[in-house]
Amino acid sequence: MTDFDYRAIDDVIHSRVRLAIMSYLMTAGSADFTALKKETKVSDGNLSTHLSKLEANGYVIVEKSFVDKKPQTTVRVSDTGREKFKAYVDSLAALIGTA
Amino acid sequence: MASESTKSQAVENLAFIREMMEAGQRQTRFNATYMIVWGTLLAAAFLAQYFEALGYFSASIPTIWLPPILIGWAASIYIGIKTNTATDKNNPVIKAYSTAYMSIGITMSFYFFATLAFGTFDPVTITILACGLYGAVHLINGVVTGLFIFKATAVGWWGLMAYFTHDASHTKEMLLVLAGACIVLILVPAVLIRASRSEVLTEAKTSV
Repeated sequence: MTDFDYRAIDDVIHSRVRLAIMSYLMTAGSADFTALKKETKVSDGNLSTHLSKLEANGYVIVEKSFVDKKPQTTVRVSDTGREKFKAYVDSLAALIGTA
Repeated sequence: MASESTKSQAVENLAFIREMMEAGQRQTRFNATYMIVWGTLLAAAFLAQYFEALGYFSASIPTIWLPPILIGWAASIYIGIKTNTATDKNNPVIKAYSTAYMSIGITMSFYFFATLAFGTFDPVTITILACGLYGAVHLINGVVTGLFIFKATAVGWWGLMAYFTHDASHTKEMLLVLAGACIVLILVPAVLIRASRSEVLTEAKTSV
């Protein structure tokens, strides 16, 4: 028997790439698109898709600007994202503890 | 009931989280290091000046302030060389707050050395200047990093500026207040920022 609730697993974060993005941003605070692409090792399109999902759910804040006349996308984790991430880690810990 | 494979996947995910968080920490953890270095050096210098004013020992202002300024700059350059990555150079947030801090260092050093050279050094002016600059830079940091603590410390610095503007007398207590301000408004926030970033990382580590 277990009291672990599978519904506690956050589907938005649970994807491997989105988990990588959130984990990285939790300590980095913010990162540009290039840095995230390098860290997550995914294509531009794939990263954009995952960032869009995180942004749509309010987990990250995406800001676009121009640096030296070149477009730059900066991503930072939101307060909601920070809370959800902590809850996700807690749920994993609970899962391990109750298996 | 959670199966062994589910548990195994959770362990794997936590290990992955730890790996990614450590990668993120490598990018920015040194930001707080600058603040810890300067907060400690400035607090120590103000305390030294305070005790000198009380008569515990005798030293001139340059003797008290030159070592922390030189050590601070040397440490900042060392940290910058050691941690400056391609990511940092392309990250507008990092560029914004590192430039903001550098502007404090340049302005304060310029004022300090120029006024000493011309014999026009005024302790009240440099105090008000420092408080105003720190307030402005902490507000910039608060906006670009999204860390509320910087906005709170900005208010603290401007409050001090208002206080010193109101009471322009250069007293021993002013030195003590400034030493405390360096601890409360620079050193403590740096430690808190570092601690908050490592909190979840520690949780991820200990959960595996």
